[in-house]
Amino acid sequence: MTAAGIVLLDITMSLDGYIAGPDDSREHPLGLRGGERIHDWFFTGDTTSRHNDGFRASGRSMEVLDEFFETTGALVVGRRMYDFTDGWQGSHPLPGVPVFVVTHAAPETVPSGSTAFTFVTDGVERAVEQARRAAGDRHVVVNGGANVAQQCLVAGLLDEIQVHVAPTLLGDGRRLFDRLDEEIQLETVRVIEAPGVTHLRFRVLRQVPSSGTSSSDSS
Amino acid sequence: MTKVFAGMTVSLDGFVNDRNGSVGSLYPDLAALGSTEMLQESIRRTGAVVMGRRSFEMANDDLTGYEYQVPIFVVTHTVPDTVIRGVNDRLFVTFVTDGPARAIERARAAAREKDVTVVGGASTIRQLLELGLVDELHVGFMPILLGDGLRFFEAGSFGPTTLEPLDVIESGSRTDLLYRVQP
Repeated sequence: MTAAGIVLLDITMSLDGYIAGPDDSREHPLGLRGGERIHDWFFTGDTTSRHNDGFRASGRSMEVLDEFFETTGALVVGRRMYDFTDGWQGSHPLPGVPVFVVTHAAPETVPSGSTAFTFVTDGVERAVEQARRAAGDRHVVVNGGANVAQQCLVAGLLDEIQVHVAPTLLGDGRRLFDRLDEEIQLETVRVIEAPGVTHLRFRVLRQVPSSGTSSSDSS
Repeated sequence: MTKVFAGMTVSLDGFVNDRNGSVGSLYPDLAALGSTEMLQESIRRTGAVVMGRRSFEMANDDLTGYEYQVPIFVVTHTVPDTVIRGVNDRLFVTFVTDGPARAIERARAAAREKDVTVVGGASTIRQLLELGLVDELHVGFMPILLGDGLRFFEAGSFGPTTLEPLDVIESGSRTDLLYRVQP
């Protein structure tokens, strides 16, 4: 069992590292040409989730899905994801979990529902900071999109990364991992094999200054 | 029936070498990898190997002790003028200049009842995937984000390809995902 109160990037990707196929839009949030199927592992499985009957998973994916429901204290997402889902009509599938949306400007209207949305306009660090406070001893989960994930990674905000690898090569789309100025070492924490998906979980090891000139750097 | 296996080791962000062109950080423990059942099984079933020119050059013309002691077919535009060490009655190198499909064809013939293993590089494997010549794809994920280097999966070259998961093998910190490539 991982430590409480971590910041976790948790997202589904194709084997070739795309979180959506090409031409993602509000009509097709996961893009086209195969992208729409990469979330099948939690939508079209053989068993209905006891947390939300809109989700169906197979085999050990249910463990992973249960964990998402039970250990998430706050969500951090990008504006695109919020827009593509219409703000989940005001009610995100995780009941009672506040959602922090990283954006340049808050929307004029927000659909009313059970979810508390906070629009953070001064960057991912602030969004994660606020999410940490709201999450208490549960996890902050960065759930998408690629842009927010990359910013969190580069800012050193992630404690762990969990990717759900869908059995498909999309060939194009929205890449989860962009270029980095420095390598980031990870540690494999858990591997769960399940029908039609593989769940890989890693701890992010703190970067060490490569030139060794600044021993006072404490990040 | 001879199957074509293609496999590579990649960082979690999909690079097969780092920003300096080196693969060192993807193979922190070569000795341990060499002794895995997974690699031993690959060696047992392999009758011939196909590789790209750059992969071949990583050996510096010396294939002495190469784990796959079998005929090697190198996909290349030009035949190098070189003496290769490590050649013997089982392992010999053929440079194939008329394309990756031809290399596979020749490798199949040389492999007889055994399988063909394509050990890289990324470009060679991508071309073979586009041609529909790969039966099984093995991707070995290492716990590192390289952030730059040569990408295994470059955008745009082939369309969506459905894969059938076959197995997941953990060897120390490395996770290998094995898939059958659907036609």
